[in-house]
This record gives sequence, structure tokens and C-alpha cells, in this order.
Amino acid sequence: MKENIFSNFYAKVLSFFTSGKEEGETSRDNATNRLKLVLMQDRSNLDGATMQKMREQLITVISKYIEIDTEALDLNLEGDGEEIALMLNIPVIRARTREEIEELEEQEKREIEEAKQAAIEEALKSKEENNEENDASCEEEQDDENKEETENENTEENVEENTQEEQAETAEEAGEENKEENAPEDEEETEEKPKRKRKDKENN
Amino acid sequence: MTGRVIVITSGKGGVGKTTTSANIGTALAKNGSSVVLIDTDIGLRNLDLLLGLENRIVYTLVDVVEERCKLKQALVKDKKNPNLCLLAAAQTRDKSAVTAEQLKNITEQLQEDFDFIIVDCPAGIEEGFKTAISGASEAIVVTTPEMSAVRDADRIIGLLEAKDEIKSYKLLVNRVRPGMIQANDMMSVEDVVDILSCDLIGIIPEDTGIITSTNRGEPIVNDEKSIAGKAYINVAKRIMGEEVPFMNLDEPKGFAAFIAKIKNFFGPKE
Repeated sequence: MKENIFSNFYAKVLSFFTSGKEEGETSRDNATNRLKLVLMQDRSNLDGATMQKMREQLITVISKYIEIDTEALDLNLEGDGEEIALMLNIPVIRARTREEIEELEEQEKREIEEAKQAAIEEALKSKEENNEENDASCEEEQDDENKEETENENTEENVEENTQEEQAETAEEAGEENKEENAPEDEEETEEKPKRKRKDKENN
Repeated sequence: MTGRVIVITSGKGGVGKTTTSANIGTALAKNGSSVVLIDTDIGLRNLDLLLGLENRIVYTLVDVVEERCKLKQALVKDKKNPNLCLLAAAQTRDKSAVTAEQLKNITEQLQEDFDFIIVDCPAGIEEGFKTAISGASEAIVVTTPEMSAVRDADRIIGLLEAKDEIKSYKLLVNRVRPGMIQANDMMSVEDVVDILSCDLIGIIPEDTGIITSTNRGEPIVNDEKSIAGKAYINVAKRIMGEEVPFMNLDEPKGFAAFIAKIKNFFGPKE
């Protein structure tokens, strides 16, 4: 009790002579820094969903070389005074060996190749259907799936476009599958986060 | 004569839009200009209370729009200042009662007879805001040194920038607490200006007198001793084009602070 009174008195005397300055980040810095960040996000198109997309793509790329804890991966905009930085914090489980990396690359190549093949087959199939509708006289030629030259150049161009698009899509899918294999539990978290952020935005 | 139409807006509620409207309007009128204040916060009107005119309102903005009365009939003269008029909002309706077109039409009519048309904008960025800014060519964005108010002000500035009719917009930082800023417990006015990168037109210190003046129904600019009142008078002067330096709100330091502390110790003045 006595000590308490004494320390109170001491604090009062001290505050009488000092202006009460504290070291480190002040409440004022706190507010300014947080505000700068939130305004940067408000003003740009970097909303929660976009950040999530970026995060997912980064995970895919990095997982190729390093085994990482995808759940603890932290991607944030951070600011210190005037500068604003994109901070990526990745807990590393272990680096992959060269063999593993090569194997993964092989696997990826195979998957892309397969996807390409599938896309081409798909495109040819749809071309076949189209041609059946458009031109009945071409039927004989389309039975041969591997034949790449056709009389109708227009449809060929279409097919090429289609296959390119589909290749890109399937390649993306393949990438995602790849990621899932590496971190099957990650899916849940990545699904949850953007929703929460988007909700915040709506509320604001 | 073509009067200037100035909208007082903020985004966030409770930062002092209505207080600012009432005080700037009164200060401009005291300076000799003819002023009309328009309350566009339909359904939540308060400008009448701040001016002490709540018992004199017969017709409102909505009555004018719906042609139940002439525009001049709806203008309520201030108790003290014959240069000042109020066009009150309807309390029993909502924001959809007046469209942007209709308000623009009214401000255009008023521009012929008044030097200043001050539009008190409702909180938010929805139709009420869009209506309020429709006739204006100038804007004053009111904020406080708080994160939420500054963030909302940033949004408002973005919307004002996108509107071609708004030729200029200025920032008014309200409820500034110099003591807290000096102790680094609050963002300073410079911090806010820096973040929003917007020209400043006024700094109003936190003043308990605002509450008592509202209780009396008299804008604080009528109280010559009040610091907030003086700050508002300065804002009015700046609107008129005068160059007035910003008040030094810093609390005394060093020996002066020591004396102030001792004075405080022996009986703080209100």
C-alpha cells in the first residue's frame, strides 16, 4: 500500500517535469502507417481476391524449388514511414534436391504435354462436329484424326486458336493440381480468406 | 449576380459537417455577404437546431421541389443576421424526395440572389451525396485526425475529382487536439494533409464550446472568445480570398509550459 502511494507520487512528480515522450512507434505513427497502407489498397485494384490470386501463383512457382509451409505463408503490403513494400514471408520446410526439381520439371512437362494432347484431341473433335454440321462432303477426311492439313483453312485457324487457349487453361489446371499434391490442406484456407476480405469491402 | 455554391461534405458521419456549415455560413454573413444554407440531409435534419431556427420552419426543401410553396417562402431568416437564410430539409421524408436535377435547379435560382449557397451534405456516398454535390462548383471536405474519417475523406476526394463540375475542393480538419498530437498520440494536421494530398482551408481545434453553443442554438462564431469560433471565422475569410495564417494551436513548451502547469495546478480555467 505504502509502496503504491510512493510510486504513484513518483510518477506524478516525473510527469510534472517530463513531457511524457515514449520511444519506439507512437500511436500517431501507428495510425499514419496503417492508414497509408489501407489507402493504397483502397486506391489500387489490389483487393483481397487479387492478392489471393497472386499468393496462389507464387506458391506454385516457389513450391517447384523449395518445400514450403503454404499455410504459414504470409503475403502482405507493409509500410515503414514513406516506403511501402510487398512483404512475402515463407517458412521453408526444406530445399528440394536437384533430382527432385528435375523430376518435378519432368512431371510438369509431361502434364503440359498431356494437356496439349488432350486439347488438340478435343479441338479436333469439335472441329469434326462443326464440319459435320457445316459441310457434309468433308466427312471422309475427318475420320483421320491425326491428319493436320484440311481443305478448309478457316476452320484450321479456328482450331489453332482454340487449342492455344485450351492449352493455356489446361496448363493452369495442371499447375493447380500440382500445388494440391504438394499441399492438400492449403485449399481450405485459400478458399476462406478472400471471402472474408471481400465481405469487409462490402461493409465499407 | 452569380453566387458561389459550396458543398460541405465528409463521407463519414459525426465529423462536424453540419457544425461547419452553420459556422461558415454565419461567419460569411457576419462579414456582409448574403448567404443561404441548404440542409440536404433529408430525414435527419439538424442544421435548423444548430442555428436555433427549429421553431420557425414552415416549408422545407421538399415542399419547394413538390411545388407546395415558392422558393422564397421556404427560406427562413436567421434570428440575428438578416443576411443569413436557411432552407431546411424535410424530416419526415427520405433522400429520394429530391433528385440531383431538382437541387441543381434550386441552387441555380438562389445563385441569382445570394453571394454564397452553402450545401450541408448528408453522410455517405450514395444518392444523398450525389444530390448534394449536384449544384456545387466548390467543396469543403471535413475530416478529423482519425483513421476512419481520413479514409472516408479519401474516398470522397476521389469522387469529387471524378466530377467535372467541382472546380475546387479543400480540406478542413476538425476536432484537432494539439495536446494529443504533441504527445504523439494522434495524427497531426500535417499527417492528414500529407496522406490526402489536398489543400487545407481550415484547422478547427476541439472545443467543448461547440456542445454548449449547439445547446443554445447559436453557432460558435458568435462567441468571440472561443478558439473554434475564431478558427471558423478564419475559414470564412479564406473562402473570401483573404490570406490568413493558420493559428498556432501548439500547447506551450519549456518554461511557458511550466507556468501553464502551475496555473493549472492552482485552478484550471474552464
